[in-house]
Amino acid sequence: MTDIDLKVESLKKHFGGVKAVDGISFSVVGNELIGLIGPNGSGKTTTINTINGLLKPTSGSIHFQGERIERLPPYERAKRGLGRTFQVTRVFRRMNVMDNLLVPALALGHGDRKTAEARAEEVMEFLTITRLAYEPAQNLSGGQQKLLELGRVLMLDPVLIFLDEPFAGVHPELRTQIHEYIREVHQAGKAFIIVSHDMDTIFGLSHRVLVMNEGQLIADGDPEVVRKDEAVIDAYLGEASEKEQLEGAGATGGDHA
Amino acid sequence: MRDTPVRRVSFFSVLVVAGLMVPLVVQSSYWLHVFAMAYFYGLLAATWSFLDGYSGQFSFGNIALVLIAGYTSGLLAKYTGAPMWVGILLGILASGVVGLFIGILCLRFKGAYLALFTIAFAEAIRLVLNTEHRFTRGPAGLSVEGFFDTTSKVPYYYLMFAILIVSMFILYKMAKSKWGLFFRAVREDDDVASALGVNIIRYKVIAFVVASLFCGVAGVFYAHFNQMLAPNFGTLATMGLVIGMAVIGGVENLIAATLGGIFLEFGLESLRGFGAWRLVVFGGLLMVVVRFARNGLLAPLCRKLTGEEV
Repeated sequence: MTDIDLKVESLKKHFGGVKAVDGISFSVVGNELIGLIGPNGSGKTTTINTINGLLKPTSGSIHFQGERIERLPPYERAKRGLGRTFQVTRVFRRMNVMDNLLVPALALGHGDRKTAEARAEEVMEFLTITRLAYEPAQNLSGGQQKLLELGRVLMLDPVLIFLDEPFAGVHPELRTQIHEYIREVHQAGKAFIIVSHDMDTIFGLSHRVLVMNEGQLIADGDPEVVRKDEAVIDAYLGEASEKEQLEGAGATGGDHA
Repeated sequence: MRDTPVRRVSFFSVLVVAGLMVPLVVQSSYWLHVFAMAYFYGLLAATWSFLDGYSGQFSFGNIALVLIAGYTSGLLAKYTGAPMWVGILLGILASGVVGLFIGILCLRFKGAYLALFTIAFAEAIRLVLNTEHRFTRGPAGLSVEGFFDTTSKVPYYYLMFAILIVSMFILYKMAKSKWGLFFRAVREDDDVASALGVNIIRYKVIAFVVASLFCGVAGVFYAHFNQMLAPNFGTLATMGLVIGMAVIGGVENLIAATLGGIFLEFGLESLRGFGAWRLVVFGGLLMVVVRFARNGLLAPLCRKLTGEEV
């Protein structure tokens, strides 16, 4: 198992006067399974985009496996073991499922094409999408596209995976399926940071929860402790439905390990 | 769709054998000339398919790169007395180097911005060649030595056919390699491609340079085949014709785009008697394809015959 070590220090990302991320610090050590939650516009996706390299930070530092990476382009970060999915699913629509999966494997030089195809077959089998291998990605349903995005990340074989809203808009059955995939991959030694508004799943799945509000990290710790944190409850007061979810999370159906 | 090498090899073999037999069937010099020019347009349509259809870079610069290669070769011979082969190599190289600079300059550009940049570039090249008439002979055109010391079109036909086959073989191999996969990933979503480990800058520039080099190959053939090169060949209208050929054939399929170039050049020559109306027909066909068959008219057929998606 690879030692995983991500350190984010005083990270800021400002867009003009908007402080999307405003000086957050946290670290990931070992194969943690972390939930990242917060009200809409709290800076969760911007944080992922900045760590992943799609956005340049305004200030602050990001160390991964002991190396400073905040100036590296996204593909260099991917090569170092950072993988991600996107809030709105972004598959290569006019490429078939197999080609979608081959891109990360071949980009990182994980063996030749035959090896990559064999690995893609394994990933498709794991995600139960083998029958769609030569189907253009645009023909897949929303849920199948979510699985394909997850498959692409697995082909990258990263050590730390960011999943941005993996449960949004998917059928409850598929949600359970994705939940199980995450647990299996986590048990194989990968770390996860999962952004989601699905509180039940996040509190049931995660070992640690980070909470952001207005660009700042307002809580970081055990899900049970975070759920009762005053600052977290205050942050959600403006969003009644999410507050209800927060208070109910973990109480029903959670399988926090 | 799974790989079907037998079907693919059979399809390409039929095309090559048919091409080799043309001079045995067609005796007319005029039509052999049209064939050679059709292959020239087929190659240009392939370069545009490679750049836009595969890597998503919408460029109007291809025709300027044809001029750059042709004029480099012609002017070197005229002013330095360099052997023809030196001019040809340097002409192709010049196109590649210019393509490299444009590729680097345009890294951040997409869609309309890249199109506008390359329109400005293409027009600037054409206008410089027109304006510097003391050096280039301007609109009167530059005389260029022919490849062969004969009036027969047969050697030119086979030369252009060989150029087309070799160029297509190289472009096709690239498109089918992992480079082709990365080009398409960049075309689909460059942020995602980068997040999946693809060095998008490298592959955008590679696509530009490769397309430019083959525009250069087409350019030196055009110059030494027609033995005359004028700046006004490089108008936006000519570039529009090339784009239209690739789109009508099928811009995301290299073979379909090439066949689009070949068939449409034939179609336009066959309808020459109708004057400007043939271009109206061409424009109408382009509009119908864009509206009702965005994958092109020949791409579905090529996919069926080769058993390949791209």
